Amino acid sequence: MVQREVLHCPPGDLPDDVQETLLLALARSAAQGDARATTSLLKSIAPRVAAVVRVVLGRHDPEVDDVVQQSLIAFVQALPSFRGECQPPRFASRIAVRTAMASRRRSRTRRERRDDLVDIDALATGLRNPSAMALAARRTALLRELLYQIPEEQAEALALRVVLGWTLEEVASATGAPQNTVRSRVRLAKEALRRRIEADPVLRETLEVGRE
Amino acid sequence: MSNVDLHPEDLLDKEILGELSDEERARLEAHVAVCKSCQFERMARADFRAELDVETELAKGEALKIVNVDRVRLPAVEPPVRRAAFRGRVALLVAAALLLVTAVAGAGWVSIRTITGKGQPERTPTPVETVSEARTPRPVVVGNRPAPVESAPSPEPDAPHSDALPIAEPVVPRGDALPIAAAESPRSDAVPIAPKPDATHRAPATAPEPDATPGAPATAPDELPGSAPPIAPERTASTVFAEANAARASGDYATAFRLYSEVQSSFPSSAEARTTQAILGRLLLDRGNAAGALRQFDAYLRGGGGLREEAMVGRATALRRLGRTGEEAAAWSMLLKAYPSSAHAENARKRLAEIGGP
Repeated sequence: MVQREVLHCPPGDLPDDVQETLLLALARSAAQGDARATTSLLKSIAPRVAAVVRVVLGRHDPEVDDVVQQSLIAFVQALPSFRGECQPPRFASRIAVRTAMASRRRSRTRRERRDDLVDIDALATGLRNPSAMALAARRTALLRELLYQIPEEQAEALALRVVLGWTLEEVASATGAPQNTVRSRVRLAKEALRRRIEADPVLRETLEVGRE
Repeated sequence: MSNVDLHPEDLLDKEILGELSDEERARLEAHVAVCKSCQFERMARADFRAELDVETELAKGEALKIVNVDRVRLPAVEPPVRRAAFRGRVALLVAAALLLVTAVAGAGWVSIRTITGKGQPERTPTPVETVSEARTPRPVVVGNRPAPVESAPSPEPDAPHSDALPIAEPVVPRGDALPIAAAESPRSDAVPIAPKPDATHRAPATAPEPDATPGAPATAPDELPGSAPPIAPERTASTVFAEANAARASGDYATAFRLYSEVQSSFPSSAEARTTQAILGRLLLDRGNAAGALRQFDAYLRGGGGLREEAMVGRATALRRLGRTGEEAAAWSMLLKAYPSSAHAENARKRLAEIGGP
């Protein structure tokens, strides 16, 4: 049993295994209504949730802050159903992905980029060459846009796989869908992706692949 | 059948996990060589992974708003002792059946309260709030140590079960399924946390103390017992740059401007100072200060650097907004000459066609 005072300490820079144990214990306590455990848990996972939301929506999306809040609320509300089969940050990440996509789908207005400049955050990283950054920005923008144009199940599978880098098995486990269903969703999403790439001359040129 | 129907997802997974054999890698590469979507997926994964890492680090340094946990009500969950609950339900069903039979037989009325009272399973505490808590919400002061929780919320065995769910319950069909649409309005419920000074991420706005030694501050409320007090980091171009990025990420543009300027003035020969010229140029451009942006981009281009292409695009855009069309045309032309395959080339050519450039 984790001591109560330990439960309320933020995981911070603890060793990974200790941190995982602590987060799971916090999640269990939070699910039982421990407000302090819930607060500690939220503090621990909030940066990850914020990051996922920003990556899915794009950093400058005006809804980012609201969606982060919605994601945290949804996370707290989902805690009673959390079975501890994965780490709380992972669970929260999926909630953030779904909340962000749901929010964007509800939004009627689509904000267009102010101009064709590379995102300022890409500048801030300053590590890759500009052309590479521009292409990366183009790829991520295309994928974000695609997430709102394809059916929801396909979009979720694609987002978990490409944005969060999960395996088919992990996506299947998280969504509760059979692995072959996830495979089918990913296949359909990638077909839509291929059509979008074909429609983008810059991306088409940079993907130097043979004829399909 | 097109190869898009045969994406080797399992091999892509193994690649993620680092479990590809040589033979499998060869198969994967052979497929990716002819499949745009798989090639794109690999690249986009790397893009998003890098972006996610950067965003996570930035978010750690921010004073994120955390929801007021007292205002978030959890849906009721199955009582821990499922068998007891099941037995209770069976008893209820039996009682209901008896009631029905009795009623049909005309044997008189039976109080539902009496029967269900005997058959009601012992109610376990609701996860977060008891009914009484829901009626008198107790604010949690996030960021400061709240009053110790003396005991877990006491269950109210006699309370009707429906009272435990005073708000719309998210649909949680199974296991780790997620509620999405049920989130409450964030603006009304969100309680901003007072920004907590975090010596590892954010130095004081004024009078930095590079010589600060351990022991000065009291242990922060959330620190682990026995952990060492935070040590103020040495103030370098890198740390100030990181602080500026964090300030910008949190929307504190005044601080971001000040810190980026500090990087330029205090560490003029650093790589970060060079980068801040491009960043400040972009920030100023976004805020309508095209003249200021132009100065930053010009300064960057005089020194050169890895962001030259972006600075050239920014400079041309600034000139456009300043109405200096001739110089703008020259700027776009220079960009096309230097970077003919730039991602911005298409727009540059369009713009040149509009303004009659070369």
